[in-house]
Amino acid sequence: MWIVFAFVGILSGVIIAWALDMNSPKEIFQGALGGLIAGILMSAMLPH
Amino acid sequence: MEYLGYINLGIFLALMLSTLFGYIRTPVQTVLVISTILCLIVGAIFKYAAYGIDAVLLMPNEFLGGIILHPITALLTGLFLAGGLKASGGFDALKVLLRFLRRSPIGLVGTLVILINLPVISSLPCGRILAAALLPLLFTFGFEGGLGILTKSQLIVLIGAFTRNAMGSCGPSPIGGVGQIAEGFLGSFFATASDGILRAPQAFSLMLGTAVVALFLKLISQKIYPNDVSLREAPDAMAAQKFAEPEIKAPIEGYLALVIFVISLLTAIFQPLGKMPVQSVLVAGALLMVIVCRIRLNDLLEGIILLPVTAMAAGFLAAGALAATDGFKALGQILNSLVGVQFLGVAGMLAIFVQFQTILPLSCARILTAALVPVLYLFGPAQFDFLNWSQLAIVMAAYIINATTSCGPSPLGGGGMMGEGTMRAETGFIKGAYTFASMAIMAPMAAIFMKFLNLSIFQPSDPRFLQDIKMIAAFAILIAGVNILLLVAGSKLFNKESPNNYYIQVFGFLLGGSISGAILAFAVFEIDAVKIAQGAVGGFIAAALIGFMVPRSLSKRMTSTLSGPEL
Repeated sequence: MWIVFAFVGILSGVIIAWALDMNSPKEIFQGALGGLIAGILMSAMLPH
Repeated sequence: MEYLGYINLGIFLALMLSTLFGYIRTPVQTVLVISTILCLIVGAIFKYAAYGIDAVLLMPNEFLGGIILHPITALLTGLFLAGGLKASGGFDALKVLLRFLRRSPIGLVGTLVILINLPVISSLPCGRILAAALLPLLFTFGFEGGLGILTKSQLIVLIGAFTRNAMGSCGPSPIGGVGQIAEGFLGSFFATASDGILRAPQAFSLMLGTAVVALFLKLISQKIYPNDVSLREAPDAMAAQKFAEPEIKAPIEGYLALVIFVISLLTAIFQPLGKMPVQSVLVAGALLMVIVCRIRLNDLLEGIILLPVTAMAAGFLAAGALAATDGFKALGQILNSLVGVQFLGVAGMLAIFVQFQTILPLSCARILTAALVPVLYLFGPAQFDFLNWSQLAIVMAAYIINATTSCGPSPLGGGGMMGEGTMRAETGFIKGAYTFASMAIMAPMAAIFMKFLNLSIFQPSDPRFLQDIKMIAAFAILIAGVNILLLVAGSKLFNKESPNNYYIQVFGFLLGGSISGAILAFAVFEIDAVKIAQGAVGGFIAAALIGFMVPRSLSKRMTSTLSGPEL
C-alpha cells in the first residue's frame, strides 16, 4: 500500500507541476517530492 | 401492480432531470421530498386497489426503514468537530504550516501539490468544509489576491484541481463518507468491509484523477472557454514586482485544536482503544476542544453544513419510497433488459451504471448513492446473480468514486461552484474537466486497484485475490498516459473560438469513455474479448450522455438561464 501510494503521489505531483507550467527539472522534482509526501500521508490514513 | 414501479421511477427521474436542466428551480432536497410524497400517493392508490387497506398501512414502515442513520450521524459529528477546528483558529494554524512548507526544500510547487491533495488526506465528511477554509487562501496566490505568485492560468489550474480533490474527498472519509453507504452493503460478505474496503481505491484514483483535472483545465477548458474566467493577469509593469506576503498568525488554541482534530481522526480510523462508533470518538474530540481551546457549543454547531445532511436524508427518503413502491424493482428490470441487448450484455450495462451519477450530477452525491447502491447490490448474489462477491466489490469501487465526485460538476449548487466562484468563472467552466476525470480515470482505476490489491487485504484467506502492485502501476501509467495523450492531441486540434472545439472535446469523451468501459470489463471479467467489447460499447454510450451535457458555451448559457423566458 505504501509503495502504491508513493508511486501515485509522485506521478500525480509530476503531472500537476507540468499543468502549473512549472517545467524546470528542479520544479518537476519538487512536484514529485510534494506528491511523494502526499501519497505517504494518504497511505498512512488508510487501513492496511 | 406491475406498472407501479415504472410510474414511480418515471416520476423520480422526470423530477431529477427537470431540476438538473433548470425547469424546476427549487432546492433538490425539496424536489426529493415532493418525489417521495408523489411516489407514496401513487403507491398507496395501487396497493389499496390490489391488496386493500392493510398494504397501505404498512407502507410508512417500509419506506422509513430505508433511512440508514449511521452515515447521517457520522456526518453530523464530523461537521461538528470541523466547526470546532474553524472556531478555534485551526485552519489558520494549517495556513501557517503551509507557509512553513513553502519555504522548505519542497518549494512552492511541492507545497501546491500537497495543498491540492490535502482534502483527500484529511478526508472530511464533506469537501465543502476544507474548500470553504482554504479557497480564499488559494486566491491570494494570484494578482488580485495580493501575492501575485501565480499567473491567471496557474491559478485556474490550482483552484480547479484543489476543488476537484475536495469534492471527491467525502467518498473515502471514514467519518460519514459517501463510501460508507456501499461498505455497509459489502459487509454482507466481507466481514471487515466497514473498516474501509472502498477507501484506498477511492483515494488512489482521486489522486490520479485530480492531476488529470489539472491538465484538462490547462489544455482544454481554458481554450474551449477562453473568455469565461474574469480573473485578471498582473499588468506587465507589476508582474516583475514582488509583493509583501501578508503575515498569517494563528492562536495557540488553533494549534491545539489541530492536534485534537488529527488525534480524533486517527482514533476514529485506526480504533487503537478498541472498537467504538466513530461518532463517539468525534464527539469526545469536540468536547475536548470545548475544554482545551475554550470554544462554545455554538461554535461547534456552526460547523454543521446542512446541505449534505439534508441531501442525504432526502435521498434516503426518496430511495425508501421507491423501494416501498417497486421503483427499484422496475429499475432492476430495465437494467436487466439491457443485459439482454446483444452488444451490451452485463459488461455494457455495468459500464453505463457505474457512470450514472456523473450523467446525472446532483448537489450531493449521497442523494443518488443512497438510492442506487441498493440496486447495484441486487446485481450480486443477493438477487440477480450477474456478479459474484469479488466482482461486486470491484464494480462498487468504480461506482462509488464516480458517484462521490459527482457533486463537483453539478450545476445544482454542487461543490465545484465554490471553485468556479473563487476563480471568477461562469457556471459550467469546470464541468468538462471534472466529468472527464471521473469517467475516464477514476472509475477504471478504482476497479483495477480493488481487483489487484484491496480484495487481498480484506479477504486474505482467499487465494483468488492476488496482490499485483506492478499491474496497478502499469494500469495507472496506461490510463493516465492514454488520457494525457488525448488531452494533448485535443488541445493541438483546437482553433481559437471555433465551434469545432466542442465536437473535438465530445470525441475525446467518447474515446475516453470507451477505454474506461473496456478496462472496467477487464477488471470484472478478466480477459474475455466479448465482454471487453461490450464494456467499451457501454462506456461509449455513457460517455455520449456525459460529453453532450458539457456546456458548449458558458456566457450565452448563463444569460439564457438568468433571463428565464427560454426555460
